Amino acid sequence: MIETIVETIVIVAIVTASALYWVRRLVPASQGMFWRTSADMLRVIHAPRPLRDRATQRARQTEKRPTGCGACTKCGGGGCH
Amino acid sequence: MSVLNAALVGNPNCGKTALFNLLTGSRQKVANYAGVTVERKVGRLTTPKGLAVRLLDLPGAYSLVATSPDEAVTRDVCAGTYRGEPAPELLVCVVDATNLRLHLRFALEVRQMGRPMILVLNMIDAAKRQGIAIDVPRLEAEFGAPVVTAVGIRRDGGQEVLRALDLPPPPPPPAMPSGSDFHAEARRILADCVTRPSRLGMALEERLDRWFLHPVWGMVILFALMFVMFQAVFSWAQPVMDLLDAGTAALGQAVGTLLPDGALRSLIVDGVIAGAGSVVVFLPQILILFLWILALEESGYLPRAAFLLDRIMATAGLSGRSFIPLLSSFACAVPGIMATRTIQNPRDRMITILIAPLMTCSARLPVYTLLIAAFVPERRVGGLFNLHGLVLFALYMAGILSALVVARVLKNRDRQEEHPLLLELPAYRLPNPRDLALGLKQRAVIFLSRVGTIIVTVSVLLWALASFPAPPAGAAGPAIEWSLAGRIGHWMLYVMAPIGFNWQICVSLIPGLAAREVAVSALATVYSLGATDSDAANQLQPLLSAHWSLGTALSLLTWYIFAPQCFSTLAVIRRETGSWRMVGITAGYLFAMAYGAAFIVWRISLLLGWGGSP
Repeated sequence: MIETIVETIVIVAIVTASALYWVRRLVPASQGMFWRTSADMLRVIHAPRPLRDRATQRARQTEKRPTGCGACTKCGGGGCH
Repeated sequence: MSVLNAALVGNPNCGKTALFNLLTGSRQKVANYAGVTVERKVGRLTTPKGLAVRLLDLPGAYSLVATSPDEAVTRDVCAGTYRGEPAPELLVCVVDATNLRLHLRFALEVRQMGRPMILVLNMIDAAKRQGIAIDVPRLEAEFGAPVVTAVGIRRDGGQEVLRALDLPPPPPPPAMPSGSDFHAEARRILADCVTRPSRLGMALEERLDRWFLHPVWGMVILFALMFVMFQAVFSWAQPVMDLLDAGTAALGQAVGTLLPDGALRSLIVDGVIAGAGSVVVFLPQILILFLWILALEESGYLPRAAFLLDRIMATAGLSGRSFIPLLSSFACAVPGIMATRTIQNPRDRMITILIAPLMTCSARLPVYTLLIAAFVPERRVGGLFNLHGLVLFALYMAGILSALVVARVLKNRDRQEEHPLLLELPAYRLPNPRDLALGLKQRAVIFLSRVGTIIVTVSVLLWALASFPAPPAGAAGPAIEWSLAGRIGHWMLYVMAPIGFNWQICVSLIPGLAAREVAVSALATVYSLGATDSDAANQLQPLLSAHWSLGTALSLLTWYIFAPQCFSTLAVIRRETGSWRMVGITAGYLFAMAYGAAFIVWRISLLLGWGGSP
């Protein structure tokens, strides 16, 4: 019985990790959402400050506006200039 | 500690990136042709005296009056107007010492910007070998900025540059009066400071060019090189592939015996090992293909091939300038599409972006070789050529020809003025074994990291979709037929059955959008889960030849010549064109061509009696 539960937990963990990898790849914005939610949750549960700061920092990093080639910002709408 | 901001600038193919790699310990791609670097790269180094330097490697430019997007990056960074990038405190202008007549003109243009700079005479060893004598102190006096020598491809070749970086930045060099002729000034400096040998030293290069650039023999040599390349992909790789195949099968059996029967064993053996293992075996073929491409790049042959193909490209309305991006697309369409930044004509650039996905990327190689090995008999043609290699060559040619036809059609819609091809032909060089080894290592790392991330995760997800829900009690047939993946495959059959696909192929097409080679791992997982014989589960190739008709295999091969690219390609098209419409047009026309061509091939196969059970 315990073996079956452990096996199920391991399988669910592997499949979830793979699914999260693809969500992050296909919808990069979801990463920002994930870290923001994590930061909010850590604040609510009064988690240690370094942990909260780390989550907030990751949320900020992933929420930066995407830019063009090599961080070029001159590609508004009409392609590369 | 203060950090010096320096930037490497220079003409294309003067060895900036080789010097950048040498100084910073980076591993950026280098090749013996212009236009390899199309965006700026940043590296850090510490000089012998402990000065921290932030070094930028900028795209090569023929002039600071930019005519293409990559040249614009160089111009803006040098001028200090590139957003998010501070103006460099020191410009390190790299020139090819064997080609000063062209490169010194650009150095004078950089000098005119009035920023502190040093001039680096790169490839000084090659210049000495060619008998070119450069009076460095005199050049320094004439040019008005410190001049040092370097050999970017030698381990100790950057010492003089490091010593120059250790000194305080020199004062800005004196500018020439406005309206001065850079060409005339370059000629004057060269006459004073450089002694060139008689033309006898160039005799071998000229003799080689007489053959390689000949309108007829040049083409014969080009096609022979390509032909031998595809023969080698099949002939040389087989022993190592067999070893990897046997290793994967043994690993699957070993893990199968270690783990108790159950879902976890199925996940590891049928999902991860069958999926990833079926793709890993193609590593030797991919490395052989890249060994050829890298050797041709390093030798200086590729720009000559571009020159030869200019006439053929012109019949499709493109210039030879599209050749390098299209050639890069044989590795992967993503760098190929990025390399289109060197194309000045916007319309030519758009058309090259549209047709780049038709070049056969290396991710398609596993699909092609799997199906060729399964359905094309292993025999010699004319006692010399491997039939597998011939079919692979034909598939690559089909992609190239279809790209030319599409370009012709698109060009006809909107005729514009033609831009003549101006191409710098580099000196021939023997490929450097270190660069070849580095290039192959990079390709192997890229391939294996894709297997470890994209392919393993897709195999896990596909295993979950192909295992659940479980079949109802008393259900007949393999369990996978009742799973979500099985049902999706059967739904897709309404669209795909007219082109001869079965439901297993339909299932593999969806994850194949993540990366082409994933289709192979997906087929391995689907057939592994559906197999009743555990030995059969380890061998995808005989399984396919037992379950598919020849018509189905031909139809799938045809599909993959044209099929819409992976997500990464579509994403880079969006980034480079700034338009979702272009993404839609690319995906739409490729899907229509793939479906149409596969439909025709399947119908012809049915007529010839190749569509029945094997």
